[in-house]
Amino acid sequence: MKTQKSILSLALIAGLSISLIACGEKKQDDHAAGSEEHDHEAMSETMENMDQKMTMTGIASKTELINEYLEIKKALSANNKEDAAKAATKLAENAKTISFDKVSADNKTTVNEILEVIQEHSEHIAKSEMDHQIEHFQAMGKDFEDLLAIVGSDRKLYEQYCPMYNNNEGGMWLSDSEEIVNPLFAGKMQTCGSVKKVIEVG
Amino acid sequence: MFILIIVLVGIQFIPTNHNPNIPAGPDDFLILNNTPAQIGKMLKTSCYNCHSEQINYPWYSNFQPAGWLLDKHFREGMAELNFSEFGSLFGRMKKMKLESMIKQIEQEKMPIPSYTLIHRDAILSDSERNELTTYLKTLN
Repeated sequence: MKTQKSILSLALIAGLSISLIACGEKKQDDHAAGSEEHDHEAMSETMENMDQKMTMTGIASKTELINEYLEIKKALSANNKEDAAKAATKLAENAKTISFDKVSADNKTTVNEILEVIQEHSEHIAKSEMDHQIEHFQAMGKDFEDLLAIVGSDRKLYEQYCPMYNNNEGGMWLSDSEEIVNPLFAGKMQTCGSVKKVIEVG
Repeated sequence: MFILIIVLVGIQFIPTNHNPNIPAGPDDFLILNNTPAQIGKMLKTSCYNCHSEQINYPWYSNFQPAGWLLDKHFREGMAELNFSEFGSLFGRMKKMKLESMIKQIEQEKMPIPSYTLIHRDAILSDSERNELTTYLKTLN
């Protein structure tokens, strides 16, 4: 009985390993674990992005991008890991496909770099435990702010800050309401924080 | 029992792709930052086997399933961070990776327990963690 069990598990391990190997080697410049898709259609835009882009199913809008960020914020404030992951999955996808046409040539590279970093943060939020989700969300706030400084925001946003996050290192986030609902303590300490800056529509 | 032995022997013949050990170039983290030798040694021992192209394979990596497990660690590690190519990243990405490194080391999430379980020399003491993160913060 026992040997049968161990034979079975060994066979399983062997089988699994074969399929792992069959998956082939990862490419060096592939960020996302797993998703290796090739560009199926030559879209008119030329992205100087090393990543292969997913086939486009409609280009994301800035409004969607901001919505998803705020969705993650809301989910973290409510201590809801799954909803944060769902919104982050969408955000990662959209950060990959969005393109800002009105950006000057000088800013194009910066915008693409910010989007790449936002994508990576989102991928982590999509697959991690709450504390790690919050870590990446906190870091991503600055990237979002830098992005909006270039491309403009479609709504009034508030940069908010709580000095107690991460053993008093402090942490920031963006909100569409002036009222503080802190997302950095997984549903606790919700009122800790203050408005640091207002980002006007622009 | 007999079948077990056959399977164990059999899986040794399944080819694994051992990752090439490429000499460090100018984009390598340690060369790029002219990292002090003592810090470099820590990074090499505790991080480089899953996060770089300079890998020291232990003798048992030639046996399965140990070799596969190491390869899995390597693939997953490289997807997140590759010290050998660090210099090729743009500034914002470098900063992000550094911040992640610091947090992962501070919170003792890295090196991962499933790796240090076998590779005892990769374990970082509290003072080593401190030394390492203090150094990484100077680069950030």
